[in-house]
Amino acid sequence: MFWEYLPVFVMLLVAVLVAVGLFVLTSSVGPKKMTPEKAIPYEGGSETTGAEGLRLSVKFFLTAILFVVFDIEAVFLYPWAGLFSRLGWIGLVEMLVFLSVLGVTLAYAWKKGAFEWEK
Amino acid sequence: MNAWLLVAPLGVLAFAGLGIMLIDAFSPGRAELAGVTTTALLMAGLISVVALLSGVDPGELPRSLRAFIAVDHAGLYFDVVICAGAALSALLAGGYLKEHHLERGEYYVLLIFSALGAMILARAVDLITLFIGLETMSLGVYCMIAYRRTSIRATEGALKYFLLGSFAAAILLFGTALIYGATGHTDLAGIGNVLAAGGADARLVLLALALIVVGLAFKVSAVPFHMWTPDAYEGAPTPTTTFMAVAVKTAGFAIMLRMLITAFGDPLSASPETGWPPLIAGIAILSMIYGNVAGLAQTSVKRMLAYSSIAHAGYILVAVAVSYAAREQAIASVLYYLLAYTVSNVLAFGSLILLGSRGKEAVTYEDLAGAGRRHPLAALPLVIGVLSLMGFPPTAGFFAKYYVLTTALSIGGGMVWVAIILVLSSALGAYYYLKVIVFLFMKEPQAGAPKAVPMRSGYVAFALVLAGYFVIKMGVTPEPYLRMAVDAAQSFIS
Amino acid sequence: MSELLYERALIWIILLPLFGAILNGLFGRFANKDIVSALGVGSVAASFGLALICFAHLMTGMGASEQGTQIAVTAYQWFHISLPTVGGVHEVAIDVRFLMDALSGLMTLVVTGVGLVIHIYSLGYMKDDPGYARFFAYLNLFLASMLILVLGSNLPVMFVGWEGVGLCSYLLIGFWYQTPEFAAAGKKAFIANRIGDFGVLIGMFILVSAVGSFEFADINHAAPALTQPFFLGSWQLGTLATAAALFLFLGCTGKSAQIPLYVWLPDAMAGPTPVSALIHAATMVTAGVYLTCRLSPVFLESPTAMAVIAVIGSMTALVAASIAVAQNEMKKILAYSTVSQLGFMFAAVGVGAFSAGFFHVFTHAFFKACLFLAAGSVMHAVGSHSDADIFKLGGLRKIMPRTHAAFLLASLSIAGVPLFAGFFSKDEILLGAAELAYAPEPFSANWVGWFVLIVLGIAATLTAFYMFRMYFLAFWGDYRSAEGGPEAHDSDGHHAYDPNPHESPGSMTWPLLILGSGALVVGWLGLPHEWGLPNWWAGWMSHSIASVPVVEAAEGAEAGISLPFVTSMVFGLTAVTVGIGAAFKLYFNRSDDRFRDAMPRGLYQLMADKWRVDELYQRVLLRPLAALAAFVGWIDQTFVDMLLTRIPSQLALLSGFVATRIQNGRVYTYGAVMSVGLALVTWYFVVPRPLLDAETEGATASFEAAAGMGYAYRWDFDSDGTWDAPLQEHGESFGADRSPSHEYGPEALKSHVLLIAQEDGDDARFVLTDEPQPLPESLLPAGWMEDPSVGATPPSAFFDGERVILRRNSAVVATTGALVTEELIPLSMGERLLLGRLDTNRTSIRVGGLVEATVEVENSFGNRARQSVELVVNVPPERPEADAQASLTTTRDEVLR
Repeated sequence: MFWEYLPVFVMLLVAVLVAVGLFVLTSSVGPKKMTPEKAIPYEGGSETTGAEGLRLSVKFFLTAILFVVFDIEAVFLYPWAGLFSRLGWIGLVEMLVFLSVLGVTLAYAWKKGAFEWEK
Repeated sequence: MNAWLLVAPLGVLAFAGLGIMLIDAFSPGRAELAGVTTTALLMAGLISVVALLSGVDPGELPRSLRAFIAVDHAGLYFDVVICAGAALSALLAGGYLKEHHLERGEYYVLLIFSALGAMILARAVDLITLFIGLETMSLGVYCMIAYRRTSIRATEGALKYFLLGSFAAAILLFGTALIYGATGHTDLAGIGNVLAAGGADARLVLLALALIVVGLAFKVSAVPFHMWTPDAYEGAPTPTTTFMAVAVKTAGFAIMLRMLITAFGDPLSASPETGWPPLIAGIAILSMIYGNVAGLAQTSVKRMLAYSSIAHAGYILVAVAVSYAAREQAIASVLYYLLAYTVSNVLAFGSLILLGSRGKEAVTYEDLAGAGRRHPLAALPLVIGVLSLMGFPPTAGFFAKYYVLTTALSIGGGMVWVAIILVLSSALGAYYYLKVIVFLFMKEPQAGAPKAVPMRSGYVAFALVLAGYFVIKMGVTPEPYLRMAVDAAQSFIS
Repeated sequence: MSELLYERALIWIILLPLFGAILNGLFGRFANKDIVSALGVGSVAASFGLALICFAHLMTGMGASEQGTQIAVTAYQWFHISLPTVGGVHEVAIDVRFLMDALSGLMTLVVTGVGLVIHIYSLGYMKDDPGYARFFAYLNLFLASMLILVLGSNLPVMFVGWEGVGLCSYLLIGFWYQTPEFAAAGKKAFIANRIGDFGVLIGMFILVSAVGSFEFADINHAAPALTQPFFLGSWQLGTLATAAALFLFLGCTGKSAQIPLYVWLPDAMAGPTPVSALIHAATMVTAGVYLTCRLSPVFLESPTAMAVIAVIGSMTALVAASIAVAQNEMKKILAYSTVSQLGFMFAAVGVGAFSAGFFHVFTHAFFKACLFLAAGSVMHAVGSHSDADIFKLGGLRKIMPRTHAAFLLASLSIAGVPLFAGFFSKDEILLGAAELAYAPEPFSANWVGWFVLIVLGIAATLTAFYMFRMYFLAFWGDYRSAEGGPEAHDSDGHHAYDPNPHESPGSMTWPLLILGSGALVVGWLGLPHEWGLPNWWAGWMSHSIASVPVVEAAEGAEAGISLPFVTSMVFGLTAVTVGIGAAFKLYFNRSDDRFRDAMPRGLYQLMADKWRVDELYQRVLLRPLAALAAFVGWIDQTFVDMLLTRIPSQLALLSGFVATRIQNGRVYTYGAVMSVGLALVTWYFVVPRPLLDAETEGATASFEAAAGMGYAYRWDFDSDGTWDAPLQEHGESFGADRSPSHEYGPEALKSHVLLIAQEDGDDARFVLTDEPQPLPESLLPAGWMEDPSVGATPPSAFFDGERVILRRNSAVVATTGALVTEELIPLSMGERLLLGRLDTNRTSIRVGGLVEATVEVENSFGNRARQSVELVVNVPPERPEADAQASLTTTRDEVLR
């Protein structure tokens, strides 16, 4: 079994090595000169206010969720397309039901303004 | 009659949910969504009743469907209870949300999909369906608790429920994975067959049983897996609390019965000495005692009702614990109890809603002081509701408790002691129920304290009249309902 | 019309007044008076109409077939209960079922008809009362309850109505609850009724346990079988029929105001007058008579109960009539008159003349309602709220002609003047008594007949007397409270009554006249058979009431003048003549009480004080009860309050503590508790539990360990450290056998024990050693010594290596039948000895062998648990059987010689 999956493991290994290697390379090769100016947190040239840490608008999450929803649709559609001839009429009807449910949610999200970035 | 009638309630709700989404999106704020939702739920419930009475042969349905969704009378019975609970909650929401300026369409969509999830859960005969139903139900409920976003208590309650609920779901999921590993089946009947034949690793089975019992005990808020209950019940908008207390609990008990009887019903898993029956009885004892004792100390009526719901879970678990022996009777008494509990709870929560108009809500005992004398008609349903929860004849709650008690006593042995604890602890519970009546009629509000003023809402009034009618009806003529429950219980066993 | 329509109508007869009550009760406050009146009167009128239709249908049906028809409808199935009955546990159905036959039909007509008239009367009487809607709601509720009582076809439904009318009566007596005495009167009525209801409940349970059904029809059908003895524990208390009948009659004495529970009725007149007329004269109080008629076959099975009822009924009639003679207040006189007339009815029932008793219920409803309403009309006229003293009235004949006419009609009727209703019904009762008096053997209760006849004769005389005393004083002569009259002012100088009385409005006088004419004509329904006249009444009643054979025989006889008939006529007519004549002589156009002056002072005072029965009850019953109540109250405050208030409050504190510690609002605490719970649940499954159970039979013990998933077992039956089962070379393996049996041999015994039977049925174990040890006295029966006066040492016992020896010391020891006098008694295993003197309760002693068995359980997780149990087995000695037997016999012979 191990031999069958060997290429996968090799690919994983390479991916990990590249990622780690790039980190190691940039931090070890590049020059480092620490000055007080460099040590303070930078915020648009003015003094830092409020809590540090990244704050993201909720809009990003909404978009991400919507993306996931329609991504899953694709995940369903591909294998269905592959097996279409074997599933027959029932398969077609089931996929239509699924798509129409998705359609309703799309319409709902649209009307509720989920796709409007500025509001 | 067409056999599709047996699954039609689920379809009706699914389509109604989608339809309400569209109505809400395309004509916001114009439609009476509460009315539409209630109608849809009542229709689904009515179809279930028709299907129950018409005796359709489920054999006509495709096997692929029957393998995942139960099409027995028990399933239809649970449909009726859940639809009734959800419909009444929707009615309460119709009054509550408007009064408190929370009226938005999402609530009804969430409610209807949660109810759908609860029905799927109650009809699950496969571990996959179980999990889908559980999550469909729970996700909606999480949002419904946090529905009042500006309220810290509501979001806190929702977050707690969500975190602990995920924990419990993970436990349950792990349990189902283990049982699948032990038996190679995901359908409950198949699991049951393998276990009865003794062909599974006992270690895996026992661990799975432990995990599944814990996961389900969480959903029905049994001690010690009840910790989320008071916070979530108190923080949630009252219609959500009602929905949780009635529909979620009903679905929880439904799947618990299916699991324990269909999957773990073999003589060794259900051994009255070392199997799940003593365990469930122990959890029941803890729930009864803790729920009633902790209920004594509450100052908030809503919180008191949360503890009361823990205690009631204990009473129902007593009947579940004996379902290994007096099967038909025990299951029937669980089913009857769930229906009685649903209508009684709607009555209690509903009249709390009715007694509080915006800014003048009735939440604590103090808020209720004297309200019975100022607004007798609004206080009457609360009185009937708490009397029924207390188990006072002639109300639905009395016969519910009576049947559980006689079932436990019919087993004899150690169950007699459990029955004694049931009686004693519910006597303790009478204290805090009666306190409601004392405050309503025999106390005067403290000087300067805000006085609760009843709201005017046809929806709430209608829900109260409906629930009140059934509380009394089931207390005066319990026979037809009991017969329905027995009929459903029989389909469960065969 | 089809049967179905009549059945529907039957239900609506009850529902209409009920809806009226609900609507008026809930919304009457907010509605205007006309709507309340229309609802109240309209619903009753409609109900009366339906009752008439149903009854007419019933009458035509009766003519058509011999059995007579009935209208019965099962409204719904209420519930089933499992009840232990004589024939084993029965599923007894309790249905809400209504039935109208001749008996209940006539009663329904009375209830709705008289009820309707009284409703109309109340329109005027209660016109200005602030509780107008409340009054009509109560009154309608009363009618609904009464109809449930009457129409219910089984005991539980009847009992619902029975309790319902009691409740309404309480509510209406205390209608003016602001006055403490009125509220107290309500309470008194309620308590007296509760005592009676207790009797009804017990009677009901006796009947259902004997018959297995609550239905009247089934009970009556099974009545002949009720002659089995009735046991309470081990006491035999008469027959089932006697017990049931007497308990039911106890209920009737409460509801229908008989000795000893009649005291509430006179006080009940505190309520509004229409209430007195409807509830406390015409309908509710006759419920007891109705019940006895309904269950007449049961009563007939018990001559004892019948005699008791006859005696109590006639005594009540006499005592109440004698009290009425000495009262001055109109409503008081009428109240005692009611009690007295109820006594007549029960006397009739007691002599077996059920039909006559019920006929009197029917006629009484008319004339007594009329009298009460007339009294109310008088009070209305003179502007008094609660009393009408006849000595302060007078001459009302001219002022209130209509009231006078009605009052006169009703008085003639109740006195029993021929051709009036009261004459016929009273005469039927006397006839019933006379027939019993003259009855040939074997109906040997003749003395009861004579007793009833004579006592009722006196009571009837008194009735005529007090009625006409009241009539002459109130309606003849001059109005004594007029301005300048002798009674114009009371002792404080106030006007007692309105000096210028006036006739009451039409809504009050017309009902009076209707009832008054009723008092004249309704008697014609039951004309004496002996005159060759048609007695419709008896014909109807024969369909629903059983009668004593003797009465039946008389009714079947040819029309003609018989000896009993003549006797009853003589008694009846003499009573009327003497009573009215005396009243005329003493009171006609006079204002002083010549009767009082003529009577011995003490006796009159006693009668005026109602024979001081209330005071007697106060002293004999209430004071001890009050003392008891005080004691119970003390217990309640000291102990019960601790249980109910202190413990809950402590618990509340405790739970508050728990709540703050555990329910602290932090999710991680919650999660931790859940995890602990999960750990406990897992622990429950991971740790095995043997839960060993064992039973012995001789030398064999059978064991049972708990079943469990993945459990394996091994057994060490004698706890010697090596595993006996499953048999393994190395003693390590476990098997699946969880319920083995094992036969013990002598080598397995740990020691010998003496088993001493104890009073609670268990055996006490006394472990023996080689040394003699005295048996502890606590295990021995009270009379174990030969001679308690001497003082004694208890027996001791030891095991000598072969057998157990009991040293008798000074104890009394015996085998079955003979005393053992030997000092040292050898005992072999299983042998039984008796300890204790013959005349005291003895205890048996036997020898057993003590063994210990151990089981070890291993579950699939590899965890093990062990449990041991000690057992007493009966192992025969190791020596050959014959040898042992021989030695035993020798020893025994020596011992006995």
